[in-house]
Amino acid sequence: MLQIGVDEANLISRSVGGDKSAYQLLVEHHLPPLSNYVMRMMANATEADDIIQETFVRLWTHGHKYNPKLAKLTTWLHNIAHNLCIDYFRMTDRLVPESADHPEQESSSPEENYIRQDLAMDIQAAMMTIPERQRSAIIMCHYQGLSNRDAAGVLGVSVDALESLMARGRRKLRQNLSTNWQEL
Amino acid sequence: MNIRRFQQLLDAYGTREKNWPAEEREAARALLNSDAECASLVQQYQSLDEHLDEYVTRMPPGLGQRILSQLPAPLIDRIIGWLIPDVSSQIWQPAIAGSLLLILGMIIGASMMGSFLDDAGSESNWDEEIYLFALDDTSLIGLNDE
Repeated sequence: MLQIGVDEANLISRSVGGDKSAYQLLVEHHLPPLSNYVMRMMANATEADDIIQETFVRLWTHGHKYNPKLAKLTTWLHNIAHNLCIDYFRMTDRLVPESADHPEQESSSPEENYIRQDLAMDIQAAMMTIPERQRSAIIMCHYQGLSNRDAAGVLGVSVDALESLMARGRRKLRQNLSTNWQEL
Repeated sequence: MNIRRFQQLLDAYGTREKNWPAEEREAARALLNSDAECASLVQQYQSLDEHLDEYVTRMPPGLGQRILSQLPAPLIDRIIGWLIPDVSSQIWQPAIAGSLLLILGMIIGASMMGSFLDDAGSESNWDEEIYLFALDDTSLIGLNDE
């Protein structure tokens, strides 16, 4: 497991210098969380795949632009991925995705798996109905574990504005999901 | 921290304490433990978080490997690669060799042309030319013509 901090700073500087082994360690560490973010933003594996790859290509080609004094690397990568997602949405003007494949959870009966997959698809559909910035804010704070300041930095808004985005997004999610899931 | 702010936290961040802002987490937790109304609010909000937790994604298989294999070469390597491409593209080799000879010839030619122009352009040389021309007996040319 990569030790974040001094090691990461060292890896970034080696990666900027063209050291592929250092770059590989950075990819191994940051790929899973970044992939989760983009998959939830896009909800389509093919498009998400392209955006994730492009994000990491930017780490390789534009790594010299990263300033560790301004942000953590994970925040910087989320910023790139977020902008690529927004560019994609603007370019295609498409909000409703194809349904993604939802993994089955371990130690569940087939019936439970079915209900979970059904719920996951409903949540995905509900997520895609809310504006991209609200979705991004919720994903970063709920799933990605980014701090409110980091998430606000990615979106280029104040913490108050971030809270407002998340509150509106969550309200809308609750409304959309409550038609199928009464307990909400 | 008061109940109004506590509800704002739930509205924005949900019921997971780890998602609350670090600087307010302790105060919010203390209020939750002391105020039954807060506990009731948490119950109202937590089903959305439980539902959100069901939305699990799976990383596309082989993605890490694809990223590493499709990595563009560093800029300097790309420039060198463009200038001196793969050996299999034979047409480039005579072209590069010819270009190098041409550049060498241009450099030598430019240096020689420079010294020639310096000599021809100097004022003293022009004066000398005019002086020599004046010594010439031009009247003979006219006599011969007649």
